[in-house]
Amino acid sequence: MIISGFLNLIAYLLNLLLSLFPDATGLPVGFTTALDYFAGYVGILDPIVPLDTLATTFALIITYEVSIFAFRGFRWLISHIPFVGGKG
Amino acid sequence: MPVINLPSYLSRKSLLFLCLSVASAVFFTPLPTSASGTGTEVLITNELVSCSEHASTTSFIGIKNPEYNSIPPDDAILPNNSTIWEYWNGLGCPSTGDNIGYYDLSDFMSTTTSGVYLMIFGDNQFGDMIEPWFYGQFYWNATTSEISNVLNYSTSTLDSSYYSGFHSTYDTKFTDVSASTTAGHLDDLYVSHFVDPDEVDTNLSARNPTYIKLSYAKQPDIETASVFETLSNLSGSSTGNGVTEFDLSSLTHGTYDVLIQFSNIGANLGLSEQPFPDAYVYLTIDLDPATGLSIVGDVEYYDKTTLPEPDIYEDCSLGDLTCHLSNAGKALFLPSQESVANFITLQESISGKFPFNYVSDFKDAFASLYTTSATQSLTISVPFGSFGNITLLSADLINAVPFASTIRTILSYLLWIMLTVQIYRRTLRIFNSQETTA
Repeated sequence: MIISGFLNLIAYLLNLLLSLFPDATGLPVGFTTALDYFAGYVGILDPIVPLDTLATTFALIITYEVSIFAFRGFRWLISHIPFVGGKG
Repeated sequence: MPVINLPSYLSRKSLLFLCLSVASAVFFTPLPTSASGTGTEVLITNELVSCSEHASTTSFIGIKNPEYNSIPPDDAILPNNSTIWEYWNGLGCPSTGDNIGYYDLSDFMSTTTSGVYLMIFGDNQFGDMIEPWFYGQFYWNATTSEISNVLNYSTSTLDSSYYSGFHSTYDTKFTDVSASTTAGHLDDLYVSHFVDPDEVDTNLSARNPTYIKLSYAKQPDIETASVFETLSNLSGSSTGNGVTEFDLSSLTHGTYDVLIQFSNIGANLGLSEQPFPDAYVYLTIDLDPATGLSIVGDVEYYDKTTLPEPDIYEDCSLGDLTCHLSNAGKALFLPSQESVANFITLQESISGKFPFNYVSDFKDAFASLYTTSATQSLTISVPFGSFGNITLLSADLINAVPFASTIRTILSYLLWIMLTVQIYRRTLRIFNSQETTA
């Protein structure tokens, strides 16, 4: 009951905050068209260049870097907690 | 703190390299094979079921349909073969060795070459499934009548996501029931429904709705009767949104309790499971020859789109103080499913708000590049006097490059090697910087 009430309150406040933003769906047409052009131009290289592997390895590198960044951010956060982070 | 001097060949770098190598080997090693193929047979080993554990005259192993709990087991399934086999073959346990036996499929495979998804269960013929079960795929070559490429075998327990996940929730449900207002059809009832195509499996009765069943009992009687209509006979198709129309003009004047469910021919005959049993509608209707059909009171819709709230409270006797305290603690501190679900809907709301929608929309747009064919294609050509236009770059030119697939494979391997080296060097740098700061 206590935890549920607390979670409901947080969700309510977040929803309230979110209601300030306007509803929107879809990307600008120019952007999607550009993406379509890009895919069409690059796509013809697919018989020679492994674009799927390229995208996968790129995504893996980004995931790796984001993980390290998050880990460092977490450590920074811990280090700034009084007593726990050793800076009390 | 004692300082341990590692030998030079056990430096941090070499240990790190060793760890990465072992991790890579574990990551890229295929799952252990618990079955293999030879000729027309699947060889099943006791990695699946231990003979010593289950050996008895009634202990068998075979291909079994997990959606049925027949006693004794008399069904089997190869879903991609579009056939539910009524077949069971006991293999028994050998006295020595690991192999349980060969399962000969030659008499039961179709005459067309196909990939087959296979699930194999142990069963002791007393209604108990023997864990673990395993699943995998093989390739049936109809020309040579042999199986090949037994792959992706993996073991799991009966409460795996495939088995219990489907039964825990599903989106298929009834969405609306209304009385017809069309002249000449005033005794008709319209039933709207949504059948999630991802949840339909025509080989499993529990996932194959083909009819809508309407059961009724005239008040105050409790004797029930049923009528069936083909799914989406008014509009829609076998999956997605649809409307099924029931003509109830043959019923006599009176008030009826009505229950609406999904069904199929097997479920109608009581031979197989009812499809989506937790999705149903209860309502009361009034039939009057003068005014037609009308719905009395509220329509109650039941579905299984969310997990049912688990009963976490214990039944306590009056004097059991510990039990009551435990229940009070649960009531106070355990969050309800509804309060947690609020955050899931919040996530959906965020994706519909500017500028957060750009994140999800960009992801969708990028993913669609893999599934839709591009409308634009690059062609570069230059005018060359009397020779006309000479094409420097086009899809046809690229496709005509000799050894294109070989070049592509080599580049692919190079990319993976570069990725490995990059991650290795990056990790090394992180460890080195930590050594320096230490």
